[in-house]
Amino acid sequence: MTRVNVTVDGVLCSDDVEPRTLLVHYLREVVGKVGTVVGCDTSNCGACTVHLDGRSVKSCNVLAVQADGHEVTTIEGIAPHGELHPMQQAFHDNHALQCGYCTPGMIMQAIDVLAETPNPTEEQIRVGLEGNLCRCTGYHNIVKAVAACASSMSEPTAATQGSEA
Amino acid sequence: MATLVLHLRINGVFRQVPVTPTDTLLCVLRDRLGLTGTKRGCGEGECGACTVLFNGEAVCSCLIPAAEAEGADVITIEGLADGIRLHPIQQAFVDEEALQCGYCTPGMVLAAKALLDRVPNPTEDEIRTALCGNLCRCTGYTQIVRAVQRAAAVLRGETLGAGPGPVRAAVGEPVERIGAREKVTGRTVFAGDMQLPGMLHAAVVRSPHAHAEIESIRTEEALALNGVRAILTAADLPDVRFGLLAADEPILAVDRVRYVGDRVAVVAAVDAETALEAARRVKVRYRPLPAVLSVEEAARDGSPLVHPGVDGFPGGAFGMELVLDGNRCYEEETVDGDVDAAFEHADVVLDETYRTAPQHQASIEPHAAVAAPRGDGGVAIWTSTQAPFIVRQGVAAYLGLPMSQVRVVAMETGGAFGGKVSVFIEPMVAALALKTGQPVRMVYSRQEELEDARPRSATVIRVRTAAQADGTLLAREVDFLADSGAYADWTPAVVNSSLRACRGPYRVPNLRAKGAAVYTHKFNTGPFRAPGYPQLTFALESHMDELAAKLGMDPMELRRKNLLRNGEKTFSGTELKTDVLMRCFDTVTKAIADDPADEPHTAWGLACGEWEIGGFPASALLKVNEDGTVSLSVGSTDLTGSLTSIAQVVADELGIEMTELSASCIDTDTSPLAPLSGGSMVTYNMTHVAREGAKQLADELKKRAATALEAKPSQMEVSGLKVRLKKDPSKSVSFAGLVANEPAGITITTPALPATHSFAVHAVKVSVSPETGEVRVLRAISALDCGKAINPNMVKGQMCGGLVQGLGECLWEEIRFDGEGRVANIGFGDYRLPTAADVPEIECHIVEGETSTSRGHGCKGVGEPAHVPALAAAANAVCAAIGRRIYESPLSPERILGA
Repeated sequence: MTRVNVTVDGVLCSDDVEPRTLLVHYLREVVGKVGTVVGCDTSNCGACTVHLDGRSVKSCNVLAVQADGHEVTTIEGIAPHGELHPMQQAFHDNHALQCGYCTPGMIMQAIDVLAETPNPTEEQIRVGLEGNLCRCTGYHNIVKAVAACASSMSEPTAATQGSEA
Repeated sequence: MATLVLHLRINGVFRQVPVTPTDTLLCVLRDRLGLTGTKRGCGEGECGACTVLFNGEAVCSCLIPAAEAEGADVITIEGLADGIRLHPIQQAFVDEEALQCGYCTPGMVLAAKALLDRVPNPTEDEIRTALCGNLCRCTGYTQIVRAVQRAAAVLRGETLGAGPGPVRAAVGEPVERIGAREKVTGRTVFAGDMQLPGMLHAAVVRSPHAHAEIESIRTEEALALNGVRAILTAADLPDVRFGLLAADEPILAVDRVRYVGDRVAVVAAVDAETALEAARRVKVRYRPLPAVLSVEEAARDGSPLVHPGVDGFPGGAFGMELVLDGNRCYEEETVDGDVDAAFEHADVVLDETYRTAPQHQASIEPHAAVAAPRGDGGVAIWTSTQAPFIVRQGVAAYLGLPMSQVRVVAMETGGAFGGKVSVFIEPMVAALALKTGQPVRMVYSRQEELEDARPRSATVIRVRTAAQADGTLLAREVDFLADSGAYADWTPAVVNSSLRACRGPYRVPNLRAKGAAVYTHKFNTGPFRAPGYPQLTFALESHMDELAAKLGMDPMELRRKNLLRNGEKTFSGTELKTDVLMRCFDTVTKAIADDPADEPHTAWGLACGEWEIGGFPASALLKVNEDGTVSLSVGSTDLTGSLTSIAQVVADELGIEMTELSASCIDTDTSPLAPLSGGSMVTYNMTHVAREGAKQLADELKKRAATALEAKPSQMEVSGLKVRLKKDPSKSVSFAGLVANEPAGITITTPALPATHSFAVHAVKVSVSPETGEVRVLRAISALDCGKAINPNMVKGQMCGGLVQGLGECLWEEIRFDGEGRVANIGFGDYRLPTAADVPEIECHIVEGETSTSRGHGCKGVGEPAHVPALAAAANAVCAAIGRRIYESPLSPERILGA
């Protein structure tokens, strides 16, 4: 067992984990953040995407011990005061989800895309999301949502650092 | 916190578990490993619910520090069965109906195993002694002892006579309880076993004062603690009051606390320890005010007021508006006949005052609930309750939500007895869930149970009776004062229903009965098994013994002369159609006559009791599954096996087996509406609606089959999942075939049945030590008029359990307060429940024959009447044994020696 200290959604968590524990299993089973879901375990689908120190990672591809001393933000940490994050609101407004299983990872990845490219072209959005599979929507409304979010956030005061929101 | 890794073998499997130094073995099992079959009842080694086998010995796992379990071999209830094949002890518990709520069962089964591993052929005394560390509040132990004897015989390889075994699912058969196998294997999920992802744990900040003004509440220091998610005070919640009868109670104290333990703030944190620590760090400044603790003092003019500046309260769940007169929140007086004239012409008048102590329901499962926020702004709640629809109503009221956004799932109740009707734990977890956006669980500690649940009211009852010299009762006056505590809860109804029963089951032509419920600065008292009746019956039946002495008559003769007979009316308005009460009385008095109490300081006591079983509008939902089996859904909770009785009636009507019927209750989103489950009303009312529903379903299937077979519906009958032609049963259509193209199902509602009435006569034989005042219960007999016993095993379970609760109430159980209004006995160590070793086998006589007024199969109720005369019978026995009267319960050694 190894002790890790990880700040998850703003709260410091100190836990003993086996060194082989994946970050996603730590988040789901120890911290209880089941909003982050597992789709493939092989880093193909992106359903488990979270932010590690503000950048998106597939949490099935990171060891919990690698997050020791770092900050993790999950889908459950981007609307801390009950108001939806602009990206969540854009997904809602644009019907960018159906079953909802890929949605947490998709939103976390979309936030990262905009952090890097605040005013992306459609192609930049599609390329930015290519690591996140969706079987329901055909991506159409997801791309629309991300574009809509980009325009709403391109106001000079709008926060683009989703993970800090 | 520093951790260590524990290595131990659990149910044969080697485990490594990170633990903290303060963890107990119970924490390791339940919280770290999710083995929730091991129950937490008290946390201090008094109740035995957490019993496991530790290197072969039965121990309370709550008393074993985790570190002490290093290298140990532990067997929990999950490790006893072989796959789905029950261990012989588990099977015996199922066969003998040795469980009811199932909360003590895992510990009880393991304690029995430890005994039988050591002593293969134990005597009854050895069994009772071995199990005396395991408290059971439901069964009264009689069936548990039998189960252990049965298991012992099986384990010794003896062939048994015909046991309960498989029986036809018909009315009157001892059908196996639904859920019994889950309960003996620890698989039943109680609310406190629920674990949701990301779940937080809650703790309550409580008042240390009986009466004080809240000057300020500071939460900064508590919020700064790592892991704390939210702290709520009254300021964070809508200013709403609610209650069962009247809306007088806020969920968190507003500006003023009214009893020690009153809820001031509530905390949610990542684990229970952090929540408790945060609750300790909430700084509340109080300005203590004068408190009034005695009900008689509170009733007097000029006493400190519990609700100053308030004239009354609007109605709560039952819509009873209160008009306050000082601390009196409810008053009533009824007069029937010319009482004064009757007293004037009496040969003998007796006037005495009796007092009873508050008795706690003391379910081994404490109050527990989990709430989770929903996407629509509402909340879902899983809770241990008898009244899921009232919980929904209460949570909706307190949090300002429409009922459509509050879903309540009633989990298995680990004992209830009326204690799980009031709504207080659910709104707290619901508010925290909505505040944090995370699921939240709250489980009361045993101390919280004793300080902030809703026990039986303390009462002061003055009884005046006028009689003729020949023993004919002429008139009675009763003055009934009930201690309501800080809020009304159920106490006005306790007064109201008690005043109706002041004659006892006797002919008393003239009656004046008055009573009041009075606020005091103590926890509020609520419904507990036959609310008001054990207290009232203690007064009335003590009075009967005393009156007999004054008349120079045998107390049995005095009763016999005045008991209600065939053709006479009970206070419910029911007319007796047979001499059922006399049959109960004769059964018991004959048993007494056959075993005279000749030894010194030994005596029998007897008491007669009654209970009105109310009717309510009931509904049920029935549907035929694709393969022809049937599903039943009801909105009443499964108290004491009522669901099994309801299902049994449906199976009987449809001619199917219990395995061909699934029965479920209760989720407020999908189940049909039902009132609270209690008052011995569930089986009476719900079997009626279920039977009517089954009949209608059968009629529909017969209609369809008649078309297919070109016959008339009246020529059809149902059996074996088929509809058959009566005169040629080989011509049939299966239920499955009849629903293949068109589903069949019904929702049925029946109007309230008229009230019906049950009687119980109990006798108890005791010996009293003149040196120590200690009482030994030698025999206890119950004869109970329950109408038709749908499931005799379960009826006996109720009789045994009810009688033993009454013995506890008579001899040991009392919530005591210190001078400041603090509960002095805050655990099972001090609040003493009857153990297996304290009570004998309960001798049960089911007296059938007198049918209820219902149009169904004539069942009545049994839970409450089984408890009603027990306190009085035991008290009469003790007083007869010592030759002096004691006017206050419990009849503790101190009171016996001081009498």
